[in-house]
Amino acid sequence: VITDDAVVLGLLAATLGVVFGTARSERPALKAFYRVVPPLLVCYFVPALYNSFGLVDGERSQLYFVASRYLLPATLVLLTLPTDMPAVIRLGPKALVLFLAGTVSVILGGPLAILIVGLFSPETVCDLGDQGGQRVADRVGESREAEADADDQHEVRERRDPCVGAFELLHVLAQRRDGGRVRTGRSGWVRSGWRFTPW
Amino acid sequence: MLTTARLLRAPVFYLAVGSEANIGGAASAPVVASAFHPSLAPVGVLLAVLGYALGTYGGWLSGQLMRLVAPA
Repeated sequence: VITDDAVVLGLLAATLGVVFGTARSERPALKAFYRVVPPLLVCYFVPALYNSFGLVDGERSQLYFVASRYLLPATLVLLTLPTDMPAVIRLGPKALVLFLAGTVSVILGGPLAILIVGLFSPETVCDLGDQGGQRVADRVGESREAEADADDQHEVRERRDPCVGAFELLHVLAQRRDGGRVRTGRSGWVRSGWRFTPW
Repeated sequence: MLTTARLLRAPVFYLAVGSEANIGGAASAPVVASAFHPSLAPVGVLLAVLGYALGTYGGWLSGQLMRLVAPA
């Protein structure tokens, strides 16, 4: 068992590097492999194998805490940087105002739901202590992002759910199906801009 | 959103894609957009990426608001 978190981080980073590197390879064997097995699935699956085979111990490692508290917010900011704002603005005011109306409703919807439920069932929402509130805030922020997948699956794994592997598989396949539909007939439009988020 | 669409007299296309870009993301918004016309898919992608950009900060704001209104 590798106990040094720095080594575990390096191992995971190297694993992702190998997966994404080989996913971009032009070799026919690799291309055929990744056409059947999506790279994203391998990204979840191989680290899960490390855990299953006792190479790393997810229960004892502090890596998840550091990754979710420090690395995740930073990567979320990075994710928002390449937004093509001029192109978005060219869509016109109607599309933007309508979109923002949707965003505002989503943002206000959560607190409103807590307010309403709290009126007649405070015990349902009152145990959001300091820690709880932070977790909800984290969760909501993440839920808008692809990164949420990794976190959800980790939470499930923490509860030692035996069907975690199947869950990951389903989840990635569902995304794959969406991505496939987006790409058909559009010559990889979505894929071209964000190499690591093909769905 | 429905009220805003009504007030703006915005096309249903914007309503559908804007909604999906907020809730779904870069996978589903282009699918909704291309249901109207295949050449409109990039509009869905643009709005969905805007959704990612705003959602990161909006999600944090929403969480803080929830914290404020949560009893005790």
